[in-house]
Amino acid sequence: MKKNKPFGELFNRSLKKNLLIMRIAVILMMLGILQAQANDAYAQKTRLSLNFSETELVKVLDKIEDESEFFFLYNEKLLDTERKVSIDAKDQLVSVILDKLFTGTDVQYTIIDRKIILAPDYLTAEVQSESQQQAVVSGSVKDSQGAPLSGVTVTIKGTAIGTITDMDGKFSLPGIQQNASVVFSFVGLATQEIVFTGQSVINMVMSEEAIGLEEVVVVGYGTQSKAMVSTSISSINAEKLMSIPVTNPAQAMVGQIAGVRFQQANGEPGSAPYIRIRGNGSLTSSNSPLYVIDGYPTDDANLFNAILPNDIESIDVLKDAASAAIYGSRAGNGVILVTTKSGKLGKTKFTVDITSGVQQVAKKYDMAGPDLFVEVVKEARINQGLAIPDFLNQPERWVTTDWQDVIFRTAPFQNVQIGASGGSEKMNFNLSFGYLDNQGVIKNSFEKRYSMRASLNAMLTQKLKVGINIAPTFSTNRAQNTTGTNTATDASGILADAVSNIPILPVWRDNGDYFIISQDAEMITIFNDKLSNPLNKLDANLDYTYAIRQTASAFISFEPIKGLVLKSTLNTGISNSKGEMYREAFLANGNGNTGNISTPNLAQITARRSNATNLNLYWSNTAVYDFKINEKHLFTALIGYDASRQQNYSVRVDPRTDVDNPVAFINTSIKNVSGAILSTGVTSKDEYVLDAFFGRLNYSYERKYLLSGSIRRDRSSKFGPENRAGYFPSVSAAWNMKEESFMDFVKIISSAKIRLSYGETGNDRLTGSYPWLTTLSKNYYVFGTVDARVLTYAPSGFSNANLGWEKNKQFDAGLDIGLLGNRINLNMDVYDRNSNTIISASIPTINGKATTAIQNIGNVRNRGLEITFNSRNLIGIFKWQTDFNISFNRNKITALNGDAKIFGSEASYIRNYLGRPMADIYAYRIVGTFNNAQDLIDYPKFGAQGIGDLRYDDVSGPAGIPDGKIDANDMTLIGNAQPKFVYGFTNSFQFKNFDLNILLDGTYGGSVVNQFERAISLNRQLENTIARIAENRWKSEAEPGDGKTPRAGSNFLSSNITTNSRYVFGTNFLRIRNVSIGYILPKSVLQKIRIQSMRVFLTIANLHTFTKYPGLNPEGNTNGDEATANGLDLGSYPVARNSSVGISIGF
Amino acid sequence: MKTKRVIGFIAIIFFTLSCTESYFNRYPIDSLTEGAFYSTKEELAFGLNDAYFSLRSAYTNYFSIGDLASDNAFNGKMNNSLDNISMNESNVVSSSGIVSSIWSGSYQVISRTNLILEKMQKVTLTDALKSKFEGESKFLRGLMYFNLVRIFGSVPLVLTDIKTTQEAFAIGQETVDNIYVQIIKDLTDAATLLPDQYTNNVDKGRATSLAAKTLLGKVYLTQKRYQDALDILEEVRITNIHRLLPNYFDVFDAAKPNNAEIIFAVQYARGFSPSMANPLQGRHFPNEQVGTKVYLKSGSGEYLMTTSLVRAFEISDRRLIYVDSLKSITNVPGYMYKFSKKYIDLGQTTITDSGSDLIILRYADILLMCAEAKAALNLPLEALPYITEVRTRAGLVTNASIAATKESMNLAIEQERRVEFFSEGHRWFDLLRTGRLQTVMNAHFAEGAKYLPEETGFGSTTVNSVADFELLFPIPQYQVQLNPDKLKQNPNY
Repeated sequence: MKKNKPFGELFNRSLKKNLLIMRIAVILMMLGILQAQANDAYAQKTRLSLNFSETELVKVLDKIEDESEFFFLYNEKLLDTERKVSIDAKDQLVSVILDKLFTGTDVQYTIIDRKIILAPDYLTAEVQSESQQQAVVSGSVKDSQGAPLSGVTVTIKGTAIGTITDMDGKFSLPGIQQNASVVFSFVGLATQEIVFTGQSVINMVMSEEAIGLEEVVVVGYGTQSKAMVSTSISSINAEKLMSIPVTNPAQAMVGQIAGVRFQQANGEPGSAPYIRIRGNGSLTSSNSPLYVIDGYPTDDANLFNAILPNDIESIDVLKDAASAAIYGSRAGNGVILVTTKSGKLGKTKFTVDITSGVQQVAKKYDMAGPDLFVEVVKEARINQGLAIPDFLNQPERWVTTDWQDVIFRTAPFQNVQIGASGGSEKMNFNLSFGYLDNQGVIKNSFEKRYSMRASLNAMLTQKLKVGINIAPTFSTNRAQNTTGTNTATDASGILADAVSNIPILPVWRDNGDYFIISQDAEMITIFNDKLSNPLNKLDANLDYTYAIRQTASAFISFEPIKGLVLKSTLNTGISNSKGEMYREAFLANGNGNTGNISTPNLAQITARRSNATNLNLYWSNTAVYDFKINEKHLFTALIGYDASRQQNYSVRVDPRTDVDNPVAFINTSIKNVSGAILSTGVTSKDEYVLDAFFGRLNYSYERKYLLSGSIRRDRSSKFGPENRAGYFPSVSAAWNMKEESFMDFVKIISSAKIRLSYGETGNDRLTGSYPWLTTLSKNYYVFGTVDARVLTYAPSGFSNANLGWEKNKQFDAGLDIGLLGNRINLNMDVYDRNSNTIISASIPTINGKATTAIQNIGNVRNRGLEITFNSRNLIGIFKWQTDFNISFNRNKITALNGDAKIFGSEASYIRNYLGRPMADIYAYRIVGTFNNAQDLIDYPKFGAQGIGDLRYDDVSGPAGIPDGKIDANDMTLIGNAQPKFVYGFTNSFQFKNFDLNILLDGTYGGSVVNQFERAISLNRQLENTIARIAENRWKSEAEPGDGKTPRAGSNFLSSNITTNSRYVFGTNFLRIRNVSIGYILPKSVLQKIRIQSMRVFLTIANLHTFTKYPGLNPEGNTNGDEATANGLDLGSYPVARNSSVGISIGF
Repeated sequence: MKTKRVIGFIAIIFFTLSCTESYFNRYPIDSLTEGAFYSTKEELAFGLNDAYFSLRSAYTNYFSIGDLASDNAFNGKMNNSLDNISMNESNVVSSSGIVSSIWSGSYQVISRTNLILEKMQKVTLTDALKSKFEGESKFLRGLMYFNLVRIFGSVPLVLTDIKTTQEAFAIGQETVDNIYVQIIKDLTDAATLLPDQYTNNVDKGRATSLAAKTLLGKVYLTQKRYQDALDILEEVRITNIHRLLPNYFDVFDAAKPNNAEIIFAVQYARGFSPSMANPLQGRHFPNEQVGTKVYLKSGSGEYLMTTSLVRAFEISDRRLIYVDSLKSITNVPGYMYKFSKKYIDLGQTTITDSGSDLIILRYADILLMCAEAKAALNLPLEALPYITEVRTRAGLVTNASIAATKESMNLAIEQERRVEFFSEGHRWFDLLRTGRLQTVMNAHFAEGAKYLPEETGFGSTTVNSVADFELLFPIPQYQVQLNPDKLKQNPNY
């Protein structure tokens, strides 16, 4: 019955609304006749055999549909389908059979190609008298690139009169009256309307922009018309994702969705931004959203980021608890729903997209050059009472080296995607292949990825559908250790090594060795012998990861009665990651290491091989029932049951040394861990199961009043047996004000909706699979006059059988307004999200087992405001559209266990206090420098300090008042890592065949401790210094510099580089995230080369970042995804500027 | 009707389509859980081993009190360890990490022993094994409470396995007297249950009856029950199982663990992975590169020897073999560091892999405790042979005039203990026991001007002192805050 449903409904609605319906069938019939003459080849050559006696008409029609390609369109109310008929036909034309079936009834039939329309003949009589006054309009429909669009539905508004465009995009529509509106609609394209004023030709261009309330959004376990949505959901469509040369979907979403913060903490090839929806709600569990990929829920961001942006049809973000509650258990941090493309009806379409370009580091540190460097070194040595070595007075021996240029490079970037899609009435398919070569801006780092996606959907019968979707990805990447734990004496990361290296020393020796300070008899006495040659490290470090990731699903859906769809889906998510690391014998890492090319040091070799596999099975079953009462009350009911099982497995082998084999490798013949004499291994395996019942009821009254409620019960094996099940209810309501008659006169407003919702969602994403349970810890002890090792076991803490779900309770109020025919749209949401957290709460240590036990204690609140604004400023030949979104979130820890006033340690500089947002930054505040001997007496010192050292603010003491001492009590609040607001701003322009898209994004109000600068703000004789620091240094009482930079060669370095306010910076930035210019080649040119569409484009990602942050990336964050430790930058892989040209071809 | 039937059918399917509750009973595949453990004699033995293992935690910072707080050791300030500095200068605050580490480490051992004492009841064991598990557990528990009561005074007396977090909040402080009653009971039981010595190599180093008796002797001495102390220590002495090694050097040689002089020690070993190295090695060395030897590279300068300690040695004392002296180059240019090498492992190949043990009870202690008891019983002449035995091994002659009076003998014993047991964590507790702590320490602080300020905590104007309340250390502040109803801070902290 599926096939005739659209037209069936069309008939129904029309009859109710307007007597003009009388004409429709006839128009269609007339049209049919016209077309039949041109297109009746199939009807003329197809012969059928049927034999029925006293059978219901509908069964005969079904049989004809099954036996042939014919399908019937009719209105069940107007056609007596249960009439018993008898027929015996052998090898007859369909017209002959139909004649036999309907002779003596009032039913007329019309054959249009493979369509057969059945309608009572009284409809035809009515029409003939009126048809004289009506005109015929014809024309063609093209897409925005000028290609003809076939299959577009063209109807006259308010009637069921309509047609479909042919292969050339042409249509002809008779029976149209003056001032009637002609509506053009096509799945995925914006519906267009034009008023008929007597013109005989209407040529329509339909574009893929789908702004406005008529969009369909994906909600949990289904879709909904946007107008009917009563919760807070943001969507982003394929077009917006594809215009940016990124390698993962998260990067493509940046700046485009209100309420979501993307933090690109790391620019390493293949790394994706951290995602936060409406702030951080959890202190110990993950704060990342749940991803639902084509119905498959996973918290594995890798699976999400392995999706090719081009494969995505849409991304919908469920922000409030009411929309997310249907994913109850794991939806506490919001949900990101991804829908991938599936094939569309029509001729097979091939696409080829090639983007290729170069990447460069967007920013470098401005380090002291040779002259400034030597000036500082000399001054430092004098201040330290050291002699000036000859080398510093022999510029002829200096080799100027910009060490950042040594590690950075202009790297190629290439992204190729090939796709094919198409479908027939009964089957559709979509195939795509992708190849990505993403070379890092730091030498010897890259990501390569090969991906495939294949989806196939088949309609076995009218009621039974099946489909599969398989998407494997294979990636290889080579990583480098960029993050350094910079201290006064050591530089471990590549970046720290590069910036702090000596700018007057060479990279290479004449004999082909790397130049290593600790291996040079002269330089070792002058400079920091712990500085490594960063190129040596980059070359020596062979650290590869090979990953295979795959999501696969198969579904079967069945519609036993009209409106009721049963669906069962089996999903698998597989993620396998193999690591292989080897560090060459020529590595000369820091002090005491003699390795080099001519002098390999076997003791430098380390290696590792690891393999981790995560396998997730997910079985989802739903029943959805659409029904209505009195045509005014529309209902959609959903019930479902999901079960999921996850297994994690890993092995890892490392080399080992012992007394007899103090060096693990005896030579360099085998460049992996199997070359080691002895090895040691670790392995782990764990599993996790989850199931859920859920139900939802959506109700709408005349599309005006919307009400929705859902409930879900989840059980997770991560929780204690006493508290395993969690219940997650939600309720939401909305009022489509514009549907009210009193709003009719407000012409300017084209749509208006007010939404309110409340919901509860959960979070079970604690570390490990058994957080409620403590295990026995294993250790060793030794006895004997000859050491004899024995095993020891002891409980490591307390199990908490009552451990239950973290619960988020969220209120949301929203307003959606469309103005001027939805040319301007404004969406606003305010929310209040309260998260009951799980934390490890302290217990008296007299228990002897643990200092803390995991408990459901604590609360975090997030409140915020989100505003999205879209405007089509100019339409017509020159188009201009603006999208702007801004989100404010206020985070606060509102409860902890007992009297605790802080979560975690009070000693560190990232702190989490009760009543404050997470991740406060504490540091010593600089108030100046010690300029003379009197200052040293007048002001409190931090440990031992001298003239030219930094003077800190005596903020407090043990008694809470300044005590004349500088100690840990004087660390004071300097900032917070969380921004006050984040925003995105997009402008797109189109003029004829040219288009231009500019995307900006930014944050305001956050801070970060740039620990990375420690190593390059020392002003010592031993390593290089940032030019700014060197220039602003304290020189003398008369020249005290900028008052926050110590003198060169301080004797009390540790007090100068302790975490202080000069390392704390605001992270405000405004980034030109993407600029792309495209040109669509004209049809006339393309036709000659038999190509349907072609667009060439130039795009630049991360063109420029406006920020006062001196580090390489204002979003840099070393502590990963951990909300309570954010705000520390130890030097992250810089974000690259990518300049690419691309071509998209469709044929 | 059809519609209703279909929907009803579907509802039934969905509500029968559920995983059973047992499907969610997932337990770790890779690690053991407490549930069924401790149900065999082997598992009980593993549990008991962990009580010994936990001694390492309990003793991690024991020296910060035993030596650092006394006049024997000081903290090289360049390591900026506030906890150590305040300990050295007798300005300990309740937030000190040292007291909280001793507190939690000691209770860790106690919880292991309580667990074994409880779990062994449900396992069928031979009498020998019963005695072993009960005796060793009670010895270790007694040792821990003896440390706790001397350091903190009144502490919670936990004698059962705490099974829930609520129980941990429910137990409050016990009086010092009652704690001593329990200590004596535990040690007396252990002395009865355990053998005098072991023959199997893998047992050597476990608690023995003699260890329990020796400790009991020390407890009696602390309680001023001198005759009881003397009796039980003599019992140990006459077995002749333990004796002085002829060469003082051999006692601490990492290659001779559990030698005849050692009665009980916390065990460490080199060459194992994961490491079982004794961290005390590095903590006794200066935190700057002063020598070329590999083990000298790891110093943290926490327990450097004071000048007054080094001057307490007689010139020809053989025990000076364990004292080294090297000149500071960068931290305090010109200053001569003096430091103990008792925890050096000469066989180690990497910097921090000392297998040297931490000796808690050894035979020399028996001799000097016997002398102390004799003197206290006003028999100074009878104390003379004990002290002479110790001094003879050190290559020193003993002037009989020390036995002139009880007081002169007491001072001689105090001096002898200082040099015999330097860097073994005895000094603070010895002075505390004899009641001489404030006299000795205040004199030490007053002498500040003569030495490097760091040695004595000598400031510019004020002289430190050990006040009456400072004879006890503060209960860890966080523990008091966590459970204020049950745990009261010691006065004046």
